[in-house]
This record gives sequence, C-alpha cells and structure tokens, in this order.
Amino acid sequence: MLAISNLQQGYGLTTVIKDLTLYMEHGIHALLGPNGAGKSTFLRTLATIVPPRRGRIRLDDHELGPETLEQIRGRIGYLPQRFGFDPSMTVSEFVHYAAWARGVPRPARRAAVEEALEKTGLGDRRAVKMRKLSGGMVQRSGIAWAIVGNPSLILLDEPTVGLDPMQRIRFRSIISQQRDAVIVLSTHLTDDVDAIAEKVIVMDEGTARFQGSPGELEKLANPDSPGNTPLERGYTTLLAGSKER
Amino acid sequence: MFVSHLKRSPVRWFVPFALAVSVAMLFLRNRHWIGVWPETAAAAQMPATLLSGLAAAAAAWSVAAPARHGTAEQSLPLVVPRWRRELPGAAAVVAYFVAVSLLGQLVGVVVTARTAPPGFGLWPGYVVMALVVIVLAVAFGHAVGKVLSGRFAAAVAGLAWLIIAMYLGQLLDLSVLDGRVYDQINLLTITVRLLFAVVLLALAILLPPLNLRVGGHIPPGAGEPFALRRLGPAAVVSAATVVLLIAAAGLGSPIEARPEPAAALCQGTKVQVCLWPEHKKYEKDVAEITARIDRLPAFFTIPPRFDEYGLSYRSMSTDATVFYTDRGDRPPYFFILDGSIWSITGTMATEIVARSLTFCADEGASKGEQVDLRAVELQNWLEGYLVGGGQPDYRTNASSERQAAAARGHERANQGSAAVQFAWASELVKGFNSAPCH
Repeated sequence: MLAISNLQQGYGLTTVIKDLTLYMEHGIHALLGPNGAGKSTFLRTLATIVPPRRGRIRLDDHELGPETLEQIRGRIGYLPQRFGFDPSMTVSEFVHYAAWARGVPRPARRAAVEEALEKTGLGDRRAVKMRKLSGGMVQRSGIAWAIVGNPSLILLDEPTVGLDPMQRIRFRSIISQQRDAVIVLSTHLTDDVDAIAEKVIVMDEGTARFQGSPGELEKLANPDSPGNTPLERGYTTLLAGSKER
Repeated sequence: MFVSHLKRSPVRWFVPFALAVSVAMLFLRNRHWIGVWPETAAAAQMPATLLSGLAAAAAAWSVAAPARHGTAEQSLPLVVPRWRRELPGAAAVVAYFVAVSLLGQLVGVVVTARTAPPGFGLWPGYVVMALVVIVLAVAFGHAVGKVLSGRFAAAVAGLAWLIIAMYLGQLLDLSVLDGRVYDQINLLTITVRLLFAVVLLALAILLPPLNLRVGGHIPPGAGEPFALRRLGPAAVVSAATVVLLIAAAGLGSPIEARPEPAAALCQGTKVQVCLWPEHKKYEKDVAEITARIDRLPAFFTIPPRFDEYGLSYRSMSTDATVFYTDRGDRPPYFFILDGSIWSITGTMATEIVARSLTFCADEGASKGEQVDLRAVELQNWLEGYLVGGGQPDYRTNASSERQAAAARGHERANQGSAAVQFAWASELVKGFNSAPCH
C-alpha cells in the first residue's frame, strides 16, 4: 500500500507538484500526463531521490523519513527512463549488483536474482554480457533490476519507449506477474494502460486530475475529443476540461 | 562485489604488461642488486612508482564508471551507501597493483635467495614503501575520477600522478632508487605513511562526486541520506587524515642510517678491509684486493684498516645541509657504487697515495703541474693494480690532462709484471717526494 498525502515538490522557486494526495493498493497504476506534468518528479520523489518539500509518503507500515529511509529504500525498485549499465557485467552480475545494493541479505540474494531472471525470461541469458544484449533484452534486464528482491513499490519511468510491439507485449506480460507490489508506471502510451493497468492516475500541472480504473477514464470520453481509442478520448477530454477551467 | 570487480576490472588486461615492466625494470636497470637483500628490495620496489601511474589511471577509470555508464540516477536510491559501492572498485585496483608489485618483488627474492646472504630483515620496509606509493596513487586517481569523468579522467589522473610522484618522490622519499646497505627503512615511519595513504583513499571514497550526470532536475546531494549520517564517516576519516599527516610529517623520512652491525665482515693481514655483512658477495673480491695490498712495497704507507661507508663513519644530512661527523682516528672508508669493485680500489688508492707522498706543507704551494699529474698517474695505476688490471667501469669529468694521466696509470697496471710495476712506482714516488714546492 502506498499513501501520499498533501505532497509538494519543486526545484528552486518552481513548484512542480502541488498538494498531491493519492492512495494506491497493490497492482499496476499507470501514470499518464503531458510533458511537464510532473510525472518524473513524482517518481523521483517516491524513489526517495529528492525529499519532499511538504507532505507525507507512507509505504506499507513505514512513513518516509530519515529514520525509515533505508527500510523504505530496500522496498523500492526504481527504473528511470534512461537507465545505464556497466557493459562488462553479465546479466546475472547486473541483477546481482542491484540485489546487493538494495540490501537483499546475502543468504537470500542468489534466489532473488534467479527469481528476477526467471520472471523476466533472462534465465538463459544470465552469462551474456550486457553489451551484447538487444534493446529489448536490455529493457528486460532493467526490469529485473527493478523487481529483484520483490520490492513493495516498483517505479517504472517510460519503460516501453523504444521497444517494438513484440517487446512491449513481452514487457506487459512480465509486469503483470508482479501481483504483490504497488507498480507505478509512467507512460505516454495509452495502449500500455489499456493492456495492463488496473488504475490510472492522470497528472497535469503538478496535480492529479484523475484517479480510477481505465474504464472510468473511458467513461469521461467526449466522442468529439481527439483520440483513437475510448481511453485516449477520455484522457484528452479530461485534459481539455482542465485547460478550460 | 570485490570478486566481481576483480573479474571485470580492465586492469586485469594490464597485469601481464605491468608484470613484464616490473621484471624488466628489475633486470634491465642493473644487476648488482643480486645477492644483496637491501639492494634487491629497493630494486624490486622501484617499479611500483612507474606502475602507480597506471594505478591512478585505473582508479579514476573505475570511479568514473557511473558517469560513463549512465547509472547515476538509478543508483541514487540504493540502500547500500555510495562509499560502499565505490569501495570494491578501489580495492580491486589496489589488489591488482599490489599483486603485480609483490610478484615482481618475489622474482627478486627468488633470485637473491639462491645465494642466501644475510639481511633479509631489511626487506619488509621496502615492501611497505611500494604499497604506500600504490595506495597514494589509487587515492589520487579516485579523487580525480570524482571530479572528471570518462576516459579523460584516467589519462589526466595517470599523467598527473606520475609527475607528482616524480617530484614528491625525491622530496618526500616516496621511493628508493638504490638500496644502500648502510641505510634502512624505518618500519614505524613507513607504516604510519601507509596508514596515511589508506585514510587518504578512504577520504577520496567518501568525497561526493562532482561528475555525475543525472537527467532532469536532480539537485546536488540528491539520493544521499540526511546530512549528519553522510558527514559522520567523512568527519572521522578527515580527522584521522589530519592526525596521520601530522604524525607522518613529524616522523620525517622513512630512510634512516643503520646502526653498526655487531660483527662486520673483516679480512686481510697487513690491512683489514671491512664490509657490511649484507655485502658478503664482495668478500672474494675484497680478499683479492687485500692480498694485492699485502704485496705492495714498503714505500707505500698503508692504513691499518679500510671500512665500508657507514660501518664506523657516515655523513649526517639534514634538509638543507650535509655535514660530517668527526672522523677522529676512525679508518678511511670506501663505497661500493653500483656494485663496482673499482669504486673500492679507487678510494683505497687515493688514501694510500695521499699517505705515501710528501705534499707541500704551505697552503697554495705545489710541486708543479707535471709532478702533480705524475701523482694522478700513480694513483690510477694503484687503483688498477688493486683491481687486478683491466679498464675502469666509470668515467670522470676531470680535465683532459688529468684524464690522460689517469689513462696512463690504468694502462701501466696492465703492462709487465708486478715487480716491473713496483719499480716504476718506486721511481715515481721518489721523484714526487724529492720535487721542490713552489
């Protein structure tokens, strides 16, 4: 469970997130919004990279603060939009490093790595150097990085950008298996949302304009709004409405 | 993680090259160190200075990896603190270069151990000296890698460290070119230096990186735990660095004079020639020299004893000046320079000729240029005779007249029997002593 109340975030004199309150149960939560809506800033705040200016973040039983920082970090898997890797590492070493650096205890580490590799379908590529992987395989390694150790909160920032349709289908399949975590998936692609998200959060100008199921967002659709699918039309209708206000 | 870094470190490709450089430096510079422990130890320690340039470059390369690979952002929220993530990489670089240095030193040990000379206890100080240079280089490279990034960091760190090491090496006695038998490395001082190098490395690891390129609006210090926990270890290590810096500076150079040995290696009847026990390998040469001294005619005045430098007398030096202890009635001394027997007999010949000829009593007076040149010829003949003939293994920058006289003296030592040479020397001594002063 992830509970966010009255969250504010910004840089210098700029406020990026304004008084955001959200509650998320286990499952996949798609984070939609135009560029500059504050999605990446929100994810970085949840990832504990930048402390919130104001407000509270609670993950399961722990409220984010200096005393609980390590415990909470151990439960977060974060994959930024542009993630990197040491090309000399094998896939297994890359995931093992993530497990070690996330504080997975030594006795459980090997099993955690194996589990992440299996879930992402990289079991037979464990000994392959990262530099030899295709784009799709690299992305799967990134997901393995994020899910190793079964974190309670998985933050994925635009994880399907640059993937071909088959790779995106594969990605959705992998993510759908993570049933015991809150997964926040920032994306521009409504077909990803359609395919796997149980909940949708639409962010705009630092606030949540909508939180609900994809079906609920579709219901907001104005038939005249731009978009190829009901979800896209719901999204564009919502944003057009907020602009008018 | 340390093992993973060892397996992946690009340094592993340089190990054969670095080892080849170490062994080449050991054998190609000179070989007089073979059979003498302090000289072997110093010769085997020397490559560490050259390799330290590579070590600095490797350390910079290792620590700049997150900037190069773009892993900075995803690493910010990790539980294991940044210093613990950097530590295995730095440790792997240290381990590789220490291993290369120790393997090179092992070659020296094996070569010298075959002759089983005394003085192995002098070795550890030189080993620690090599470690100090390597750890300092890694600390420097690590710090550079946090400021700069990519390949540029490695090149800058390597070259800059080599320049620093060459400059500071002389100034601070970071390394020893020649393991003089009358010197030793003070183990306390060199250990304090090693501790200082280690805390410098720790400080470099704790330094916040300035080279991390992370996307978007991520302020400096992002991802770090709150301030006090970050500053705690840095404060402790900084304090240790200051304390050890003061201690290392207070202790001064690790190179110190050895105390006189309990029993020097002395031999000879008419004259005693004494060596440091560690110079046992020169005993046979010295025995031949003393036998030749024994055969010298009576018109030569021979001191009762010659000591190798440091046995009964040595100069004392400070940073600014070199001054000499009062020799009193202590015997004249000689050096064994670069393993040269000529350096022994040269000193002896100078001393014997000085005692055997009658020089002018008045300051500034001389017996004339030609007579003086005859003395030079005599001295160089005696030097050559005591060696057993042959051509000298050194060159001088004396005037052409004196070099010509020296060459004549050396040539004389290769011509005719000893009796003929002694007769020539007798005439020359008589002629010199009877010449008037002007």
